[in-house]
Amino acid sequence: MPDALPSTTCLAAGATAASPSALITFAVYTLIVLSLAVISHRLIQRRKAFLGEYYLGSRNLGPWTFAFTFAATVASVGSFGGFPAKIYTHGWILALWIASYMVFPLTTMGLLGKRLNQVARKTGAITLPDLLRGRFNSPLIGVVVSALMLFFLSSYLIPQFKLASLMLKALLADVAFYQQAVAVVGQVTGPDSWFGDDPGYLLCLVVFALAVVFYTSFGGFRAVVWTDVLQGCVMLVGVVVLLVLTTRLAGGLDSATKELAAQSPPQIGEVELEWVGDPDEVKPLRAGRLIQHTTNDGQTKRLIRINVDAAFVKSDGRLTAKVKAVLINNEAYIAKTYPSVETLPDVRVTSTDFKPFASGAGEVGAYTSGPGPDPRPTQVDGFLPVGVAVSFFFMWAISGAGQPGNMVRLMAFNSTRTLRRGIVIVTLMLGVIYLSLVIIFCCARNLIPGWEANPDNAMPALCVFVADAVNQPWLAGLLVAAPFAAAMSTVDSFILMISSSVVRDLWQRNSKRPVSDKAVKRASYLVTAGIGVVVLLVAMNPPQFLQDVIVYAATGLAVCFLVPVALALYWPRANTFGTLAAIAGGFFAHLSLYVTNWVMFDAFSPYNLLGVSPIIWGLAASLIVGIAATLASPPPPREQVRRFFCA
Amino acid sequence: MADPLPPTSTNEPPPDPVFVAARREALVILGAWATCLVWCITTCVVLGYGDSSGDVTLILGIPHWVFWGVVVPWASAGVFSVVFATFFMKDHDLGPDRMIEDAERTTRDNADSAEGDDA
Repeated sequence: MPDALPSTTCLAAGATAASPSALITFAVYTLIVLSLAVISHRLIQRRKAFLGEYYLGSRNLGPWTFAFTFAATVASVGSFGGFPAKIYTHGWILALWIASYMVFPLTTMGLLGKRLNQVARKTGAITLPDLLRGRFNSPLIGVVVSALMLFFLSSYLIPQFKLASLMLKALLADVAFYQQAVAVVGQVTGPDSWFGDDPGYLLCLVVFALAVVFYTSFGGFRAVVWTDVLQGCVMLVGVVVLLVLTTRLAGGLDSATKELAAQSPPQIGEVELEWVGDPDEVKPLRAGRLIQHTTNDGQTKRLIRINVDAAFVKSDGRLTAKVKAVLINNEAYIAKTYPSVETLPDVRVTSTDFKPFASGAGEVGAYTSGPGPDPRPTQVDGFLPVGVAVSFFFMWAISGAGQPGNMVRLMAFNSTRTLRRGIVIVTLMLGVIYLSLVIIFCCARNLIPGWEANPDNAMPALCVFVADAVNQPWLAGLLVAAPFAAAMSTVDSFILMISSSVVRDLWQRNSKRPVSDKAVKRASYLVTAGIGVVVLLVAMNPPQFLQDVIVYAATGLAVCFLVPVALALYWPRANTFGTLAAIAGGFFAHLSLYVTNWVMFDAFSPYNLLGVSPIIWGLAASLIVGIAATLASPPPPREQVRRFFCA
Repeated sequence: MADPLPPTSTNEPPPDPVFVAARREALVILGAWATCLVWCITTCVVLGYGDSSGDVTLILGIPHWVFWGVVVPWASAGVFSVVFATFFMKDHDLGPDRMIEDAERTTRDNADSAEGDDA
């Protein structure tokens, strides 16, 4: 229920001003990425096997490039957007949520790597559909796998484009040059246009898409790998710098965790603001602003943070804005910050509507114990009940082995020595990145509280806060470049996989007439660029349920491909029928749990049957159906078994 | 129904050594994954679940259940991964690459047809 606020409530700036240094840092980074694409393009022209070079770097990756491209692809935008947001919202329990990453390099590289690379060499495969088609000598498998990859990867790309654009927008929000450009874009597109109603988002989306599409289509796999190495370095350096500065600003980890242990979850809701100044001078309030709030008795001083931009619109003769906000209850922060909050006399708060967390509300210590607090009404048992914690051990370490993006990289290393060294390097990299992120964002709860209504902003908000606190504005550009690099490194490899599915698996392999090298080259460049442009257009008006689409696509890829590929590599009895059955079993079992949830709760999100994630049901169904169908059908030809399983 | 497993008769070729080694390594990796699962879940649930009194024991600034249930097994898994990849995994020749052979053949064919056209 809304509670009325005294009219003396005033506003204050909570965000910090960025400087052009952030824009310059970011521009330099982008220029380096584009230069790498040009160098890679020149190399492609010299190679005999265009397709092999363009889509797989001629299967010649060494240990460092292999490790960095693997790690960068794994650390998608979710690692720097969604994961920090979860740590910020739920606290230390995220250490257990992500714990299976301790064996992630072993399971994702060691389980299939050696055999995958060997079978790819035997069949001449440069894509996953290519590999399964060659292994079973079945064009049908090639077409089915290609179609599924197109479906899942395209679904996955759209949210990645959106999240990357939002990050760029947050980084540049206060840069004067950017604001002028946004004004121009706004005038060109006009209000309520097909391009959406946010010219800032549109501008960032177009800049991001053009950069990625250019370097991916122009430079191919090698450009993607080189930029992955650069992006991996940026991520690693960004996280380490952020770890050192954040723990220092929080007064050390010991002090930060003690302060966190004394907190209970805040209340989340909406606040209504009214512009009471000159109507001709009305201007929006930026997300992150702090509002001083005194209770009706005038005794308790509280702080409210608005979590999204507040744009005032005319309603009943008044200029008002209703926005997501959080009622901060971190007493230490309030005592330190309240007096210095800058007031805004032209704006007043008319009403607020805050609700407590569904679990953990009022519990001191909720952020330092399991199962962790959760604001979602459906999560009354807490964020991570034991059954869900077990599911995440499958979700990351096992399903990661079934991701086509990882498999393609396993087909690209040059020797088993590279694989062994790659496992060591990726183990160290992921350990540093993920454990550091948990510490950083547990500290961030103390430094920048009140982002729970829009926690995806926690990462850019912390970067700007830290850069401002140490008085190094260029640092914000470098720090935000880390998640941006993660988005780029995922998007580029996915665009290339979709393109290879179309050009190699659906067109060249099924063409009745031989396709010339020149035609293949032209098609590869055009299809890669075309996919980027199509995703750009869809992302201008992205569909709802973005986060759920990401989860559905990522887990869907694993349930469709992990078991069939593992059986193809390790089971001589595996055959075409069993492989197709395993794919279908995983796909439909997984999909049915999403459909069930849709029918029961009218929401496109996973239905955890018996408290277990759909990915585990999907993998189980794929395994059982695949083995049963294989045993019920004739064995593969003896010659095929000898080719892949005998010396 | 004939079982197409690699033959063991002396007249048949022996199993592919890469296949045999990769299968053995995969089994060890699955064992490591299962060990980590049991260690992490058991320790965190026993030490860290249900106690939201705010009176948490810290080790190096980390809640003790996270330290023993995540940080220590993570460090152990890291050491195991390095030792496993460095000393246990075997190096193998992965064989000739048909992709390269196909490309060279295509290049030769294109050159031959170009010469034929010239003639």
